Amino acid sequence: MSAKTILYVEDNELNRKMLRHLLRGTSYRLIEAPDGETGMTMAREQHPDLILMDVQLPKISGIEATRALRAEPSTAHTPIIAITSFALSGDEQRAKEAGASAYLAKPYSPFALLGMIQKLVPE
Amino acid sequence: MTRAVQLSNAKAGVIYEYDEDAQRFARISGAYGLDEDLRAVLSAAPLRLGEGAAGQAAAQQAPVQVADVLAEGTYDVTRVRTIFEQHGYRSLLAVPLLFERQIVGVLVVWGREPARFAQDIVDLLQTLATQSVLAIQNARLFREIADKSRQLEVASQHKSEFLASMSHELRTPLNAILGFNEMILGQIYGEVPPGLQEPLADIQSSGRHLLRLINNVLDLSKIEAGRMELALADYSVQDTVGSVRVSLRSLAEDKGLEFVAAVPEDIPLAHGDGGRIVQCLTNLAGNALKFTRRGRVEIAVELRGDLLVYRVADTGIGIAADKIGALFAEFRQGDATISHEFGGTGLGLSITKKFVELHGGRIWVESELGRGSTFLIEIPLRLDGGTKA
Repeated sequence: MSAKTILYVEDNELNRKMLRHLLRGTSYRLIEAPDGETGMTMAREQHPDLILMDVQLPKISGIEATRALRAEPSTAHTPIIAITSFALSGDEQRAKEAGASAYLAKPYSPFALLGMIQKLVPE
Repeated sequence: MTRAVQLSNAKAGVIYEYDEDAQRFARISGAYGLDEDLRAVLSAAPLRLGEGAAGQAAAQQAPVQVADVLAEGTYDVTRVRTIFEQHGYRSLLAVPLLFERQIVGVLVVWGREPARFAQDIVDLLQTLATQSVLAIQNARLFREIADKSRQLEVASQHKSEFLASMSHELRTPLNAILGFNEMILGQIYGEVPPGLQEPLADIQSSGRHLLRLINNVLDLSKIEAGRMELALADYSVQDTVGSVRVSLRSLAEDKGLEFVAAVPEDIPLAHGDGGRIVQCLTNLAGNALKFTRRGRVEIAVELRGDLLVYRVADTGIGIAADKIGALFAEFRQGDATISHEFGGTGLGLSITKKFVELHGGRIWVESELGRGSTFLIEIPLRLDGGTKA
């Protein structure tokens, strides 16, 4: 089996770097997008196996991007983990309504995130 | 105004309110028999201090009258004079409205015939003017209060929006701090030297503490802005208490305290915001562990009819009777010296109280100095429909 590709849409470089380090010891291949627009283009063109979508993004919000990806046949069934900025702000509700498969509140534990990834797309 | 016009046998009358800052009569607060044309002119281009009879009465702080406004050189405000001519206003009496020697407005009556107003009419209108001052002052104060509360509402809106975005901005770097640190501890970067284990764990727990504080400030600001809503669902009381125990177990172990929970097996599913109840119990049990040097902390649950009662009891320092009242206010702890020894911002209890109240419940404490404290929360087992803070 070929390596699973994960797309991380997140504007903060340090958070993307964290995930790069986290996935270093695994077989997952990480591709990154710094904003919602780039994220959507990469999702359409590279068909990742899983998308990690930050909710608060420049240009197109993570919620809008999730909704748009759900409407397109090529990405309608790709698992999306929404990363919300606050577990209790109602973000998770909006993320779910937009079609996210799961959500994780920031600050998240990298190992908790890895656990979720492994559950949704086993290596 | 009606009385003033009738008593003086006038055609029409008006009370202008004086705007101190703009130095003009910006508003007509009472009128009788006033022609729309005249009202329109006076509203579009209000008289200024010293302008026309009203302006002179205000400037001199004394009644001014004009026997015939159409006689040459008696009335010089052309825009008003034109209307006088068209609608048959001939005589005019302006009486200033004074409050503590400040101009509040002017009362003006217009007569149909060219004649002076008799002295007893002038006296009478002065009496009426004195009475109107109070009414105008009251209306003015009322408008000021309404304005102020609108401004406060907007400011409070801005404050909570600021806090919400601030809290996001604070969380982003915290995510990197906690995340990288956890990965170091999790040996992602290789083995951690034994001497580094403890300081790294300290970074982790301080970071988590900082996160809780940020969350508390955000919660409180949302509650105060009336924007906090409960996420209502069925929740298990056993699981709720269980998760509080798990999250605080290590704190109890570190302090060598006994930490027990007693939940009867037969308590049915509750309906409310389970996450918030966990937060409340974590606050109470966390405090109990913090303020207890030796002994035990116990969480117990009891069903009394359709009310659910959570008890958090400790064998800690206790609270003096005169300190209990202020306990649930923001940023307050029982004793200022306590915060030095035990830490904390004093936000936890006020947030807990707000969440309990959102559940339509109440919270209280039974305590005695040196003999421990028991905090009790009483909420409906099943909350139907949410209440806004």
